[in-house]
Amino acid sequence: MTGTKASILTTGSRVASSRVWIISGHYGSGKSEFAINYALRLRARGEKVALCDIDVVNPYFRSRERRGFLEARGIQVVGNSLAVDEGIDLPAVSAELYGPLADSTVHTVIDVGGDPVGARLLRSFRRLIPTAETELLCVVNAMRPATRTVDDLITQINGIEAASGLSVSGLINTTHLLEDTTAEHLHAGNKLCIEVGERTGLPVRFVGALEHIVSELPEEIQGERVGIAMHLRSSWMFAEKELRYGAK
Amino acid sequence: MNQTMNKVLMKGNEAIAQAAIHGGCRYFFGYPITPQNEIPEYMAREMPKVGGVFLQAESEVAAINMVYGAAGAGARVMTSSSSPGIALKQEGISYIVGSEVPCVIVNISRGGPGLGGIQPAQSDYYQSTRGGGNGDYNFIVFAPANIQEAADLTAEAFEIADYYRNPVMVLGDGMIGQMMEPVVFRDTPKRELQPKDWATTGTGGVRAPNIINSLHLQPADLEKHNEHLQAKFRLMRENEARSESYQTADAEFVFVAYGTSARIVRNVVDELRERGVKAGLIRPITLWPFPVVAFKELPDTVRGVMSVEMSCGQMVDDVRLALNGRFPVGFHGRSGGMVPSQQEIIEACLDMLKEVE
Repeated sequence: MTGTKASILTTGSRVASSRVWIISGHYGSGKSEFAINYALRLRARGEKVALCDIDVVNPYFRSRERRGFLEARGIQVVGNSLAVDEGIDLPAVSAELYGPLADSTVHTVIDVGGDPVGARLLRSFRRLIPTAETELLCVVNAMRPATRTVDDLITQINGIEAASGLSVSGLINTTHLLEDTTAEHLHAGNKLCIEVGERTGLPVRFVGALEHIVSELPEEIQGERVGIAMHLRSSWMFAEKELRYGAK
Repeated sequence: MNQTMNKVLMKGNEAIAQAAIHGGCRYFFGYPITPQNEIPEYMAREMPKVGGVFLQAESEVAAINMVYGAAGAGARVMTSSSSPGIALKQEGISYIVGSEVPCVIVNISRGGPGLGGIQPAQSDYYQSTRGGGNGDYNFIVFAPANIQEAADLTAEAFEIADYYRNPVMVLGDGMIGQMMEPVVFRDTPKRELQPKDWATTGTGGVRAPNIINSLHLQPADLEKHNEHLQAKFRLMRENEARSESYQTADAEFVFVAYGTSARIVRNVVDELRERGVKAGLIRPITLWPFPVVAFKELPDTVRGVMSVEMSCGQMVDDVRLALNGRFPVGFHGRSGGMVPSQQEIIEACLDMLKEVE
């Protein structure tokens, strides 16, 4: 980690003052689902919330596709500057993003595109990020082949930091295999996160998992619990009927 | 240990790329296009690790001709693209079939015609099964409906391509390329393969040169060549058709759908059965050869058959041919990247049942 990056808070004692959460990491790990669910949780606490989707990597399964659902729940959604939420893969980030970053009353979740490629976008507006109130988090899914080892994850984190010019401040254990997920997978993710933490000093800030799993996680699994309802998968994508009909 | 611990979570495109390497692919030539970009991205990263070659060509036309060259030299080789990119490759595909060299072509298809859009579509059915290139030719077209199947079929495609000395296509709509699912890479069914003694591997000064070519200027020679190719296509028709029949044994209404559409229709079948309509599904796994046997096996209780596609109606032609007038045939489709909903398919089924009464 180099000394040229903007200093983002890294210690647990300052977490209480966070109001911007930047969700980064390897694509396909669960960033967007975490971002949506965390935005909903902040809103449920009565906060003013904005969800800013600056993903220019994935062409499908972007959090802004759920604009209608989120806006109906009082969450501001920032998509791209062309005001089209589906069907384009242009890096057209909206200047609307500056609003929530500048407004100290808005709790802002930024859903970043995958990998250092997606994180590069952060560099263009890093001066606007209120660093003292911001957490830059990296998701960890130990079931994704490219992020199964400590070295892979440290490479990923270093890449995100180099691309964004910001320091990663914590990890999110989103380890899952969709509906095949069991607590065992989260244990594997927890172990991986702790090992990464030993090398980097990064804390496990959150653990995100399907509601029925997260509620039964033992204490040794680190991170604040965030129950995940899958908002981006259509009902037909689920093999199990209960999950299928329970989805949107 | 929990059995799922040996699985990994992959995007369809990544799983297809990894499955190709697992199936012995060591050469990849391609050109970027959404929604299949994770395939070349993965190949660029992983091919060098297994001693293979990834090359981003200057165009789709160049890529398919590089495939032609590598296949002619006896390599296991693949290219991937999406609909308009596959359109550009058609000439090369015709040459590859004519020259009898094996390769695998992946199409992660998007809406058309023309540049269309980047959302998922199934409007390349004609392009895949009828061919856009010249001449009398066919090749096997696999249409996976989930990521595990996409991985399994991609790995097996190399074995089958070598077996027939003919290309095999894996056709997934954009959703199959982009969605994430757990996957495990397992053993590929092996075929008895002949040595590639036709390949251009150098004569070593001891044999006559091998020539890879599709040019036969003497009409009688060309006709003989065509008869030889047709004999291969007949073998494929007889031996390679695959499908899955779901709840068809007592069905009064049968859907036909592949890929993403089949996933949706499977739920529709369950829901219709809960409402008392005996619905079933034939899911072609090979689009060519079309699984006509599954249609012959349909019971006489059937009152209507409906093709559900993310297109304006292409596979429905093959459904009509397979049924040969035995049952009324209907169609429900969405296009442009729109994915049909369960509800609209249920309504289309109920409407058709009323009509055929």
